Amino acid sequence: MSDPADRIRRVLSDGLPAVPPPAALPRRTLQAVPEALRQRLEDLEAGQGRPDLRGPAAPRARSPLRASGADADDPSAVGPPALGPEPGDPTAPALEARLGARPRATALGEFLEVERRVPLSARHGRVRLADALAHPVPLRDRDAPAGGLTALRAADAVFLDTETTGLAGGTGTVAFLVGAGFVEGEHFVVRQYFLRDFPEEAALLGALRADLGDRPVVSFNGRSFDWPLLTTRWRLNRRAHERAGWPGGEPSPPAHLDLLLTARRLWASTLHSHALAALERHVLGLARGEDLGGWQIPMAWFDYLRGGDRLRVAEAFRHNQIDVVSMLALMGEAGRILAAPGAQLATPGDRLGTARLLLELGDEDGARACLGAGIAEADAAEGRPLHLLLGWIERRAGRDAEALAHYERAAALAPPGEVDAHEQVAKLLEHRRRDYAGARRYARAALAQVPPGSSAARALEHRLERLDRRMARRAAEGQARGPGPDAARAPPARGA
Amino acid sequence: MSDVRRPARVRAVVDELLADPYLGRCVVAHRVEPATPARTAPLPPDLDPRLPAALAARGITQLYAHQREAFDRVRAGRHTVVVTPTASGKTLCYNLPVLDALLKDPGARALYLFPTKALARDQNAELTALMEACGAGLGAAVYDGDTPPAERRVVRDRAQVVLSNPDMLHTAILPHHARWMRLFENLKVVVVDELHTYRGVFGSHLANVIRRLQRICRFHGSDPVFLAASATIANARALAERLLEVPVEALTANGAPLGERHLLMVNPPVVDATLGLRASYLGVARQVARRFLEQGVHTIVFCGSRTVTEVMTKYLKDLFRHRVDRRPRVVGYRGGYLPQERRAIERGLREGEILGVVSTNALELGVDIGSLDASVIAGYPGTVASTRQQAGRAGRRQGMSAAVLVLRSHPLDQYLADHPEFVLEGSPEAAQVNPDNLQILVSHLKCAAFEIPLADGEAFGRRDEAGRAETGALLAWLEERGVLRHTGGAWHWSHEAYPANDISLRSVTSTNFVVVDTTGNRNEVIAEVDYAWAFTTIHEGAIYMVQSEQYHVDRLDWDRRKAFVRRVESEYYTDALSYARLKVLQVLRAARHPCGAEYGEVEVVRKAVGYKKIKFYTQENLGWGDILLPEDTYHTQATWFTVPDEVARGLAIPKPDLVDALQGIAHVCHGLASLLLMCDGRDLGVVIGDQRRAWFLEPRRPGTAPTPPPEGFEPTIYLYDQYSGGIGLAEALHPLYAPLVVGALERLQGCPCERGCPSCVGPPQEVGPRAKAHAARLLVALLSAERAAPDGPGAAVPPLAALLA
Repeated sequence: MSDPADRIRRVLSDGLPAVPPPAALPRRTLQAVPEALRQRLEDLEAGQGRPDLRGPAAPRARSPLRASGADADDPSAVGPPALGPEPGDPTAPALEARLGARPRATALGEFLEVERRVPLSARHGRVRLADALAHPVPLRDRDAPAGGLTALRAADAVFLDTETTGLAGGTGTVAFLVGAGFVEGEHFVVRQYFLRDFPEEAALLGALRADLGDRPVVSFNGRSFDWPLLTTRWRLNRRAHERAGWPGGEPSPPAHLDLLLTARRLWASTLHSHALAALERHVLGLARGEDLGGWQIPMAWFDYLRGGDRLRVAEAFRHNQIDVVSMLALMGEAGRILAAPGAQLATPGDRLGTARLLLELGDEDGARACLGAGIAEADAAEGRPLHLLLGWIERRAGRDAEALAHYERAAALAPPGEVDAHEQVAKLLEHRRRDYAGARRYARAALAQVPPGSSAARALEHRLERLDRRMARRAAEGQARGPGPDAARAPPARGA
Repeated sequence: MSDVRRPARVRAVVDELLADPYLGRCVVAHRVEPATPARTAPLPPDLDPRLPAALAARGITQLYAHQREAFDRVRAGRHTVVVTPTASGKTLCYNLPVLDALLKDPGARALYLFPTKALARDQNAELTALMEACGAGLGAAVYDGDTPPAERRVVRDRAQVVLSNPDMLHTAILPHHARWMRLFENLKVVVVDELHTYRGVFGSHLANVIRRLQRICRFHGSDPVFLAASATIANARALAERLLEVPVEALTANGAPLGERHLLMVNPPVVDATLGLRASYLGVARQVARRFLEQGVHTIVFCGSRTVTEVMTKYLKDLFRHRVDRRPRVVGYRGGYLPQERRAIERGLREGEILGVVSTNALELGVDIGSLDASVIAGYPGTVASTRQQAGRAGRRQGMSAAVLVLRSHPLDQYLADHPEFVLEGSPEAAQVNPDNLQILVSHLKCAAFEIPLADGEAFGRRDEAGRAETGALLAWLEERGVLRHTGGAWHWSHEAYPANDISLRSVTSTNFVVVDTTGNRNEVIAEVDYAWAFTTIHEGAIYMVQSEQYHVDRLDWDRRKAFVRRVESEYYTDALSYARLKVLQVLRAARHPCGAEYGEVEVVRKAVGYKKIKFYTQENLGWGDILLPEDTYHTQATWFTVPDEVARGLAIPKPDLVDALQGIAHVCHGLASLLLMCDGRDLGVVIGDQRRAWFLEPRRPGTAPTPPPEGFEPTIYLYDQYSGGIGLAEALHPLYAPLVVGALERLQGCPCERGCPSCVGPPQEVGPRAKAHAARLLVALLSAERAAPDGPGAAVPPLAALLA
């Protein structure tokens, strides 16, 4: 048995996790499985010919060891997995030493905590963290159900990310590592809460809840994954927490900003993937280097639990930490774009998606500026949807002349078969300008491009008939006509 | 069509049947149940005041006695199973106490479980209407695979009554119980409707799902009352206690009125006495159904298999094909039809627009098809309970109805011809479940650990010391397998998988086959086929029928689960033959002597080998085809007995004759065993072979000689549970071995045929001319060996009839 300190030094120096010889691990005594029962169970397992009852769980269960990089002649790679170490096991401090982790004591026991303090002057990719604090991100109503909060400052929020024992969800999925990032003075602190084993969960969740306080939460895909999962964990531990005199159940933060939803708008069509790693690469200019794949993370923890490769889980800490810092940087980028939507973009962005997000946030001027900037930088064909959306905004605002100009531009840019701009121009000309001849020109141009007999064609034909009637009536009435049916509703045509 | 005249027409047809010179002589039993008046009770005095008004608006001012009784019991917190026939107002038995509880405490919750999605939707409509009539803003919602994701959250948090099915509870609700906290914290009543359908594998799974439900309720601090509803089966209370694992009281007195009901049993006449050949039961059933239909009587015809259902549908449609006007509408109905087609048929039946329906037991369940006037049951359905359910599909609260059971030439049916009282008065079967089936138990133990870690000493299943020990041992095994971790006094799920996803509650896999009609390049899906049925119904060359229209299976893409068919006018249909061989994995109960019965775990390999082409109407065999499909392997339990070589030699039975005689014994034993076990014959498989010499009897094809048995052949008859994992039939059969042998001997000696017939050992064309005589001698030898065994029953083997009485 080598000196633990020596092993730690070795681990730190060559960066490769040492695999303790599992045979040397003291094994906890198991409840015995009677031989006859074992035989029946193994027969059943071997002979389940029907796919419906053959769960993949059992055969796959051994794979964590195989994937752990254990030697082929390592007895644990073929036999049943070794159990966790007894207290006092010489490898136990290795992880703590490597990560600088320390146990945190609570009324419900201990768990392991790691804190990293990243100076705000540091860069994450090309983003300086201090800059990421510059602009609050406006919130939609559903982000802050309690009301009151309309914009979120990164310095006020907690950035949450979990590493779990599976992606399927349900009460059997545990968050074994939770990263919580927050600004403290001149540092961005990433505090990681780690389960050394299942029984520490009540302590971890209680401490996490206390640390969150009533601060708003920022996550990446947390709305559908991390937060419901943590909610489930808090609910399952509710009784233990209440017995300890802690609040039971899940907290309700005043706001939850899910950056995945924001990113899907801001980089709607410019990025194929909105996975965090893709955003890091393209938006933050960050290369992660070697990282655990999502599917390897549960195995890393199970390996740690079962005394296989007990240091691989350190990779999950690193992964989680990068995730948390990336969220801050990403929120900074989002805040910067949304604060100055007309400004030149440093990274590939999506003007249309951004404008839509601004509209959802009620920022019509921002959307105008964003689309205007987009039109200025885009080539002609790319400008069409921007003109269409601008036309829609101006029309809604009652600025018919501007709306008409954008729709006419969009119609001019439209490829054959795309007639929505034509229809909008025809509508505006007919109802607002009362320019029936102009409206007819656009409607006819549109009709020539849509499939005969389609519902679009029928609507256009209907419009043309009505225009013909109106023109005939106008001709008959001459200059003495009274107000038409639309005149009461429509403002007098401007700029005619 | 005037409703008033319908009962009169039923009476006219029954009278005509009894007076008919041909059919009248075939009636072996005729029983009349006189009309019974309603027994009523007042509404409970302390009912929430909004309920009487809502009920009055639907014409209900008082209750049937059993409805009131159910209300009082649920109110008192007593677990209850309501056992009443179809159309007895069962729904109100649970809706009334549930609504009353919810009106008094809107925070309370109830969970309704139905075996099918369609039933849940039927009941949701009715419950919602009643809730609206109460005007208290109560809500009920269906939660199943079809519930849109956007609505699921609302159902979880707001619906006071959640209507679902066991599969959904198993995969989507229990593993997410923290999300359903509001339901589980406030759960007051759990309704389990159609309890009798939870038998066999499905029932064994349900019992474990209920164990998980109970654990979760305890965790969230609720203790709901269980209210089950069942069709008439022998052991509704015992079944409920086995499934729910709480003490349950049965409520069996039906207070709803019933019209006069006639039950006739018809045995087709013998047409060849020496061969023991009877007229075709399908032909007789067709004639009976025709008489009802011609008189405009709404009739349902039940058939034993999907193929027979299609054939019968064709026959009945053909009857009226040439009518010019007012052609009565006859349709087929079975599993595998597309849902929208089934819904249309159900609606047509309710509205009376369809006169006749031919169905498999799919219409036995409480699917709402209204009340029909006559039920024709072609062949004993296998259980008394099924017979009653099928007969009960005809019957109204007022007016006369009739059910006619037409018997086949099988030993079981012929036993009933001799003992009609068995069906008429006998107790219906006990539904068998085995929640502690090891395979099923282990599956659900995984799910339970996933849901809430199991504490040391916690029992899952039997709560005695042995149960606790077994749970502990199974958990330890699962830890060895790497899916659990024992730490801090509890067993934690420690795997990334979601175990419920890998466990199907139904015996068949979820991977159905679809049947694609390629006629004229239509490429349209016309039906779905379960995995287990695919081997014998959509193999290449099969004639697959939908609404009695014939389709030829051109190609079966096994991997992609698709059968490509083409519409044809065929003069024949096909009937596939499959055979099984098995391997004993472990003897759990050894024989007391060389000829005695053994019981244990076995591996069954089933293979479809070929098919017959059978001409419509004449049943002539037009030829054979091969089936080239993979084998289906599963583990189950069997009871078996062997005829040692020296016994056969002592009786001087030549080897080929020995196989024939055993086939005869297997034929008669199979029928009697299902009678003794009170189970459906299809649940029990039978195979003859010698596993030590790797020889098993295959179905014989004309023109080919059977593979002769090997030297030193010691034939064994295996009777096994036809379900993966087994459901306890073989285990229950093992101690009944002696009565089974006695019963088989009685059946042989009591049968008037000379050399065997379908009613005893099988027809001589199939089992040879000497099978009956040799079988009787073999049975005598087996019986003497059994009597002489050290702790055998001696001479005192109880006769079969005594056991069944």
